[in-house]
Amino acid sequence: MIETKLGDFEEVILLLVGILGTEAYAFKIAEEFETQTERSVSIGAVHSTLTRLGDKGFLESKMGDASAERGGRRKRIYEITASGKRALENSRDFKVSLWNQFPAFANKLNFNI
Amino acid sequence: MNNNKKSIPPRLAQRLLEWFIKDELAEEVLGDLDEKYFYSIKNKSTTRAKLNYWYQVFNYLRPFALKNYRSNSNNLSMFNNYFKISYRNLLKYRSFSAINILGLSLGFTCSLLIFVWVQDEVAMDKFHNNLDRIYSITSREYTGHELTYTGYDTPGLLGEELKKVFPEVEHASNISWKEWHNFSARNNEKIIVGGFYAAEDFFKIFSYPLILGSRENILNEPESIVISRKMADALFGGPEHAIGELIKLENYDELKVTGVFEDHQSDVSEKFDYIINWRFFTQRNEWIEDWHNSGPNTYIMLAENTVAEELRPKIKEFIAKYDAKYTEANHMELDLQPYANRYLYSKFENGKVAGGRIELVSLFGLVALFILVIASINFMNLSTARSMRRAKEIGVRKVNGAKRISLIYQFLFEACIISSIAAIISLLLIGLLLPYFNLLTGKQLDLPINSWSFWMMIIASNLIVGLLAGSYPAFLLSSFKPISILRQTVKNSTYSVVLRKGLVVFQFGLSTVFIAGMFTISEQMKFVQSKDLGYQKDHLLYIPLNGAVAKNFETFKNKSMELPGVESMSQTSSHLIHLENTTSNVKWAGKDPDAKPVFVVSSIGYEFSETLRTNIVMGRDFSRDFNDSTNYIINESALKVFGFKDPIGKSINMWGREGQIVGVVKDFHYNSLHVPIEPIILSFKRGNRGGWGIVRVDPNQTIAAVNNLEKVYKEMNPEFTFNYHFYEDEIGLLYSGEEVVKKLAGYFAFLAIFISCLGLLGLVMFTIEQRTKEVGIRKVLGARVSQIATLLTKDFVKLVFLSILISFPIAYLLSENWLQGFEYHIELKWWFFAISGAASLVIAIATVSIQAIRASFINPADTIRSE
Repeated sequence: MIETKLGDFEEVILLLVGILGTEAYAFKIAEEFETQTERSVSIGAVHSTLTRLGDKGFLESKMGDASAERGGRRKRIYEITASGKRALENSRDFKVSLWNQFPAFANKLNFNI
Repeated sequence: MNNNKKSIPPRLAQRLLEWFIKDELAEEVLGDLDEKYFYSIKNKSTTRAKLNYWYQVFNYLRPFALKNYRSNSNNLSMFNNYFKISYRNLLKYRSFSAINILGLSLGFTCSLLIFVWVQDEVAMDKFHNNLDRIYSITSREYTGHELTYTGYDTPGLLGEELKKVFPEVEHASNISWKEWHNFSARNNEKIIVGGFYAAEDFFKIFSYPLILGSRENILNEPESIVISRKMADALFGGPEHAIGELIKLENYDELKVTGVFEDHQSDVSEKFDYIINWRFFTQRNEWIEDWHNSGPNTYIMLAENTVAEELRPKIKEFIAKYDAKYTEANHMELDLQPYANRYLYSKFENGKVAGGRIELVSLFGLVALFILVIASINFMNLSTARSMRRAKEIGVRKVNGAKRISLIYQFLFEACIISSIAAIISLLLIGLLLPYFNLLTGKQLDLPINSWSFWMMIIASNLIVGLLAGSYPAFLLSSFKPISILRQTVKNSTYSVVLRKGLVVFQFGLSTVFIAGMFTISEQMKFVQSKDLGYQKDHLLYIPLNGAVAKNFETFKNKSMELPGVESMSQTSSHLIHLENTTSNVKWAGKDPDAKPVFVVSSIGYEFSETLRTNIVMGRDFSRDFNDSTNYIINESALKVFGFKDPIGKSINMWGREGQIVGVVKDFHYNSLHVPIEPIILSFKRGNRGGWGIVRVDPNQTIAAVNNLEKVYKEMNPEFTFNYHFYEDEIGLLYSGEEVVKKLAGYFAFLAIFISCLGLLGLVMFTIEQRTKEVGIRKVLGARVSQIATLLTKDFVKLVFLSILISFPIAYLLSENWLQGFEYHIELKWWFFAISGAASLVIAIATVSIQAIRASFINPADTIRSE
């Protein structure tokens, strides 16, 4: 059975795929991750997560264009699927509901969603 | 980013990635990594980018990206299968596996420990930067045309002169013998340490690391002293406070600290805590400034691009020019020895290097090898013996289409797995045993996990053992035709049986040699310890004399004698168990004018033989009742040289001083039993500096005696540290090397016989298993237990007996050879060998018969009911 829950790292990667749009391939995602979180990550780790997300049905991919700095090799572009979007929304809603139950913050926070 | 052609991603990393990554992922991943690489170059450096590339490649070692070998690669799945089969076989034949692994890991442990030790020995004194240019001068002394001495003693003027005469000699330094002295600083801190006197060039020749001071001028003044960190810490509280400070030597001479060197590591063979300028030494020992006298050692460092072989003939007769007493009959020749060889090759015979410590090192190396061989033989024997059991498996595999080569791989792989397990266990064992091994050998050995040669050694020995042991079943069994295997017409070939028997004989032969060797060594050590040395060594202690105690020895003596515990006291000029000064300058009436006999010389005080409890054969001790200051006491060997019938009152002339012989003392051992007792002339000790006090203490009040001596000593010599040693301990040190060998020999002998017995046990178990039906039928037909046990045991006992017979002559030769190193040694007795042989035989019979008896008790109904 394939696990359909989202892990923390998976969630971030999934979001980054959405942010990067047509530029969402492993190297770019890793770079974006490093700039956004200021944590280092290897391309392999990102790639592994992308594959796992693909297995869960949250992402689909196709081969994109080649370029000179890639030594003429094509890249694999990832795209969020509908169930991927749903998983992200569920995850967000779940967290928001948790935040709302947290008495210290429940009424002061404004999520603007 | 193609403008920089040179910077391409590391090729090797790329290959590695291509090798392990799934084919369908290769393109995108390589592309991503390229992009990352050029991105890094732009932002960081090329090196960082390359490193990062490697990092990224290793980060692709994740399950999702790896090629799926199970499905894709036939080779790998075969290896999986080999692994599985090996694992199953290990578990199925638990006792055989245990015997194999236990034996092998003991063998590995033992030989790796010795390997570490040998490596340490070989690395000794090898850290000097210019090692290949440093040479020791050796000398050959001819007296009356005969070679009487070969060694390192050279004239004290040699170093400086060699440097002056030969441009090839870049640096040269004389070095004194090691001297222990009291040093004190102005703040009254005191320390007793040992060290040398050496010329200015000492630190230019040798690269002992300096903390303070420059190599160029560190020893330039006659009062210069360079001290160790330890000594600087003790006297000044740290090297930085030591420079320029004054140190008093024996509370008398003042020396100035001009440098501090780092404390020695374990790779320094002759450790020292100070070096004092050579001139300081010669000013106080004028005899050194005579070309005819020798004693100091000399080291030179050749200039670059100089060939030592060309210098050698030039220095051979170098001394002829300088020594006024040089004659064809009595002279000294010089030679060179590379300093790198000095530690291991320091024994000379007939003027040539004849080994030294290297003998011990190679002996141990050989023993390590043999123990490993014994362990591997077990492995080999058990796998050949059991290989027939695997014959059916091979038949089935062949019928199913296995190629011969893959069967060979399978057996080799299995053997290598077993030896690898043994290697891992032995590494753990070594970790546990190393502290004890260090205690035994007196070294500071670590597991050299950083040294690639250590790992190479492990992997190599592992592979060799695995391949050798696996080779027989691998090559022989895989050659059988499946039809004959499956019809069971293949029998264990006679060749393999003979091989197996031969190996057992070899194993037990070696073990018996080890046992006999151990026997000889421990008997000789017993002899060494119990031999009458010519004086009573127990409850005898010595005190280095210095300051007021040396000056007024009689006062010290009288004061101490009043206190309880001190029985008698005397003094000598040189250390009694290292009498090393010799002379041939002795004349007497009736001496053969051509002969130049050499005498050991020393000087002694009153009550010498009373304190030592030596026997005076004729005459008397030196006595206050006579004026003995120019008289002599000789030993029996010297009497033989003189040839006097009635020696007492006869005049002899030593160094131009005429005196009478007043006593003849029984020969006593003044050195280890390795060397013969030479003729000795003892004169009366006049000097009031240095020397040794000898004290005989009451056995029941040893502690009181030592305390009282210390009290008197401190009273007279407040600025010195009281120091004493027991002769017994000092004599023990003479044989410390042999003591280590004795202990190790014991362990080796035990290991060898233990591992051999393990092998034998395995073979017996195997034979019995094969013959269970035969045993059953015999029992049914009425054979008694004893008959069956004998039947099963007989063959093995025969083998062991044969091996013992073969081992005797070898053990005899080796033991005899070892004993020749002692001038005084035991005679080899036949029963040494008889006992060692009997020991091997009994152990072997015990191993075999327990199994045999157990087998003969089995109910025949259990063994012959099937088939």
